[in-house]
Amino acid sequence: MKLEMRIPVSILRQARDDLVRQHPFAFERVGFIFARHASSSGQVLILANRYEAVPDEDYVPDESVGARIGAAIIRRMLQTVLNRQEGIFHVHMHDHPGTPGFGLVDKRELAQLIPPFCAVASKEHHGAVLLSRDRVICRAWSQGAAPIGVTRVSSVGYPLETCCQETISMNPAERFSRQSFLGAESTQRIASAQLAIVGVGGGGSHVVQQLGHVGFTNLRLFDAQRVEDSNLNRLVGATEEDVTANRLKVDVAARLLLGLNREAQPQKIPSRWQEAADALRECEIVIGCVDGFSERNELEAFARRHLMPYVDIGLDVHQVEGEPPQMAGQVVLSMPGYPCMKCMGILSEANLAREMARYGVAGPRPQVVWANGVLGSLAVGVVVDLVTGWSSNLPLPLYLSFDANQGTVVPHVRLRFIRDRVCPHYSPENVGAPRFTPL
Amino acid sequence: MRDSMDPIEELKKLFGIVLRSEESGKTYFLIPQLAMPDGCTPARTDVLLCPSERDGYPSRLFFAERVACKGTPNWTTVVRILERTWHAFSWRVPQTDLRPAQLVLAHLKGLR
Repeated sequence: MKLEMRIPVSILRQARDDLVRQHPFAFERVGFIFARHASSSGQVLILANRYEAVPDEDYVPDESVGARIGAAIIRRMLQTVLNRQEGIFHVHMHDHPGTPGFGLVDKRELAQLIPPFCAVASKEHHGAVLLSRDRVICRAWSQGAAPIGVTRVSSVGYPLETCCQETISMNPAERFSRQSFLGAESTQRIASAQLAIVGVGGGGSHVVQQLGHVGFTNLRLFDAQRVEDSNLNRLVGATEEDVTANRLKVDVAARLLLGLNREAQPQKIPSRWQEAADALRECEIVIGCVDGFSERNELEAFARRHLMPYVDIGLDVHQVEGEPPQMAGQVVLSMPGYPCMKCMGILSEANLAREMARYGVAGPRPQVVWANGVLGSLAVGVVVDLVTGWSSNLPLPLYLSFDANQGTVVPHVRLRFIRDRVCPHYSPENVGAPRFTPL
Repeated sequence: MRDSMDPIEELKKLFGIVLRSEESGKTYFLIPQLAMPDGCTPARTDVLLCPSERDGYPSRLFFAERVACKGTPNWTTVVRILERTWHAFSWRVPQTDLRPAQLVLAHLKGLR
């Protein structure tokens, strides 16, 4: 069973800001991160939802350790965990750059501190998070047994950072020499990132192709549809023979990827993503190339619940009688903790109602290869920046508006009004498996 | 039902176990194994009430599975909410001032 922890950058920032403060007598500070979990057949996700500092008065003088906290705060935390049935992680910081390591004292003390929490909330994982200035590692306990190695700890935000204990297959360095400006670790980071592309048709095929060129190898491709003749005006990589053979779109996408890199490991999921939710949950980033508002709504809800950045592309053509067609689209990065697509006005009750009036079927929408290409390229640019942090300046929230008639891409005007807004639709409380409160 | 009854108490009194949850800014009420109208198959199934506007409807009732009945409901929606797949038929309950229990009963009329 793989164990992965995801922590929003906002929580890590809050923790670091708190932990670097000097205490009147303790050598260091400690705090607590609370979390909820989501399980799939082969993986448990631990999803952090808040940080709580330890007040000054709860420290106890003890020169044998960096910081010792008193029984009162531990009792309060036990009560909180019991009441809320959440996981709890003791947090402290080693004030240096690079990957930190738990010392012998840490391991000894944590082995005493954590098991009582396992007793009061036995369905959750508990443990310890250790921060350095730029890295995070974690140890977890479940049901009081010996600590379990956490395979991957991700900080969810910009850039998306991961401390990974898995072996990473490396891309050949020479091939990517022209993109070395992305950063010293970018080739490794790109090779290890696990991405989901939902919909590998007109827009998604551009995304798959470009991600392959950049060096992404771990792509999960979700699409139940087969290649039809009407797809050939825009489906990158598809041929007339694919139509004749009634080939799946995921087969075409995987072939495209493997043609660029024989070491790539595309995973084909030829079904609706809703029927393969476990496979989607395990990915770090979701790229949605879907038709319709209802499906976007479901995908964003899923991504928010599992602390996954969601990159959305969409294109539409409007025509008013007597006027030329107007082709427009958008690229959105819906980042946990930031305004969502409802806040941005993309997913409104009016849009969802209009779609539902057609009985939920998005229907054949006008699609053309060049406009899909623009949106696909923009989405790949967002993903590469998210993973490598190369520009150090990815704006959040991100909502790019594409006017295909004018050939312009600009930040959407609505961003001016929502930039500092707290999203009212997705509370940090609602991460992980849904909670149902008996009335 | 008395109009003065607390809406939550009314839900519990009529349907027994009722659970509340939230997703994307909306509140949902889950009623496990609700008895369907006479003649329906299955006779019981889980339902999820969204008492506020959703998908262009003033309120919606989702079913854990499609229910066969004497009538011919127009099952139009398959949707993932709160990590489960739900089904709904096209049925508009225009009143927006009904209590949750009244909404459930009004939506079930679509199966008759």
